[in-house]
Amino acid sequence: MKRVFLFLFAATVLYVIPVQAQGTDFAGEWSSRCTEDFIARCGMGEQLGDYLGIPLNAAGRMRAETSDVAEWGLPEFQCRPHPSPYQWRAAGNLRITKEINPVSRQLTAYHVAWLRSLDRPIYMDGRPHPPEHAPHTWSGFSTGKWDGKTLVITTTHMKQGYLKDNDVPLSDKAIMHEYWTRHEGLFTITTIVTDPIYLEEPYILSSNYELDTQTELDFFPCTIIEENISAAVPHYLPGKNPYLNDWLTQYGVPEEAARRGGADMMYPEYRLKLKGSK
Amino acid sequence: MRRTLKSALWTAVIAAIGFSGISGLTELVYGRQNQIQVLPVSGNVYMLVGAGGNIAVSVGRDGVLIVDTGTAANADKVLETVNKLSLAVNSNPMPVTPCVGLRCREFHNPYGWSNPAINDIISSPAPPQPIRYVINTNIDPDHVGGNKKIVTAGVTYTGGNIASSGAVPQGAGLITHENVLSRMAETLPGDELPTETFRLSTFKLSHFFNGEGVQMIHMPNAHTDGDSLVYFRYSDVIVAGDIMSTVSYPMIDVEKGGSINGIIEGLNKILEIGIPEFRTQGGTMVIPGHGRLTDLADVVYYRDMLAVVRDRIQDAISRGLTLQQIKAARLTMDFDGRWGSTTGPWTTDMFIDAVHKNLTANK
Ligand SMILES: [Zn+2]
Repeated sequence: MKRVFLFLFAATVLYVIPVQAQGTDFAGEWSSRCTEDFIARCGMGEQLGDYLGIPLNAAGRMRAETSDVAEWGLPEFQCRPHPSPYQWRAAGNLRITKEINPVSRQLTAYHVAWLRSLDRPIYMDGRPHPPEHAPHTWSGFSTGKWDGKTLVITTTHMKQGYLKDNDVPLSDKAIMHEYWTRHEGLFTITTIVTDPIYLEEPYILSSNYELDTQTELDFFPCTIIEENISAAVPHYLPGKNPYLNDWLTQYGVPEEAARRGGADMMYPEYRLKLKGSK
Repeated sequence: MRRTLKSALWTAVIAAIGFSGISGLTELVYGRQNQIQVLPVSGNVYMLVGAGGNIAVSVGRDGVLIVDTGTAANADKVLETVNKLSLAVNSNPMPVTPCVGLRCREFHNPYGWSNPAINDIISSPAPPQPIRYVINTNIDPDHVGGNKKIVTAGVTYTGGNIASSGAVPQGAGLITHENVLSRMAETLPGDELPTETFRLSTFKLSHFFNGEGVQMIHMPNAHTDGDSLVYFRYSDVIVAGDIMSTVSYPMIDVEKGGSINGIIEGLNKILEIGIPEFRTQGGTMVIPGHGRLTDLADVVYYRDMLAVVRDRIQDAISRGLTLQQIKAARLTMDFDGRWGSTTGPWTTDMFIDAVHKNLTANK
């Protein structure tokens, strides 16, 4: 009898222990409030040639300056989703849902969807990242783990794309780390993008969303209007992009301050370099 | 205590998997210690990585069809992997690869409740299906190197006077474009040459294989003059050979008739055939000659990059720059970190040489 009791006791303990330590619940509908980069996100959009605060290396700068946003209109790229790093600053709201193991009731994945995204799963079940020969996607392959109440996410296997929609490049070798935190109805996401091809230092950005129980995520707003193969690829020959300085003259910003991008201009000491420039 | 229970549970799960037919496939796909790795692509088609150029394998009830055979040094490993894959897929009581294509219904078993498929469970598994066809997308040693061993290991089903005529070699059928045969004939003995070639723009296997049509499309001046795309029409997979890579600029073998514009045409042909599943992702999958599995979006980016490079070099030529000046101008600087190389068999310098040669020869 005593033995049976012990067994039952042990079984109860075993049953209790596997309950998962849940960090924070991020599920819900979240609205973008454009509290950062208002002009780019909720105003007129990113300006061509504006690489302010982005640690572009020389290759990244050349890629940005020779790209033509007309590439977005290629028949093959109509309705191209944004890459994951850019999604946080793109227009539109956000939905996060939970995938739950119906038996254990443990969180196995978060799913994130933005206005212009495919599903982006963030696996919480401890699975490894795929091998190098696995395909890349717009969302990339994400795994998350808790650091206290903060969710730390690592994303690999992203497709080539852009860090900003004015053709600041993102290579398919880039990796993104995210730190999700929540304070009541405020959701803060800090992203750190490392790109060995186009960035000379990690690009760090934080974005905010607000819980919004009165919103719904809309249908991906896009319709394919031309089904064909591109006859030519739009781009500017090196040094021939005529639009890069437009925003500088508009805002009266010295060219040295803004157009080129680069790691040094992310730090306060950079202001000293600008003394004397007009 | 909990950890012990957990590991005991895992042992049980792994043991259970071990008893089912899935074990072979799991090991092939996730066994990271294997030199040859297997990636299930779509439908019947699997991609084998690590044997030289990428290899595509169609596995099903009709047998095995292999596109490219890797290097000669890896042939035994490829053969072993293909046999394991064939065993895992065909001898599995619960097929991992569902039947693909219009003929699926024919294969539904006609025995009703007295289904002899129970034998799959209660007896030892059937042997792997044989390799019946080998296709080469081009003539490079890292794509045809395993031919001798892999073709020999296969079978061709023939009958009557054909089988006894001595003209048909034992082993699998070997299919290439005619230009590949011509070049192979310069160095290889007769019994290692392709058994079937085509000289028109396209060639279709005369019958379904593993429930689908298999089509070869000749791209006349791409990596060489003998490149073929191989299109699995129900699995919806295109094997691109050296027209597509995710690890380097395309190898343009100018001596053998390769050209930058031919590569771009080949990539456009892939885009013309393929259809993305949704929002430019998934759908028709493309196995490149080298590197990771891709979809059409990756092909678009590769094509765009090559078109940009071509346009820049063309512009420099028309401005009167010499080859040395073009190289000094670093016109591919923004792509070199991703696609270029200063060492190895195909450097950025060699790529620019080839493009320059193409573009000045066209004049
Ligand atoms: Zn190759």
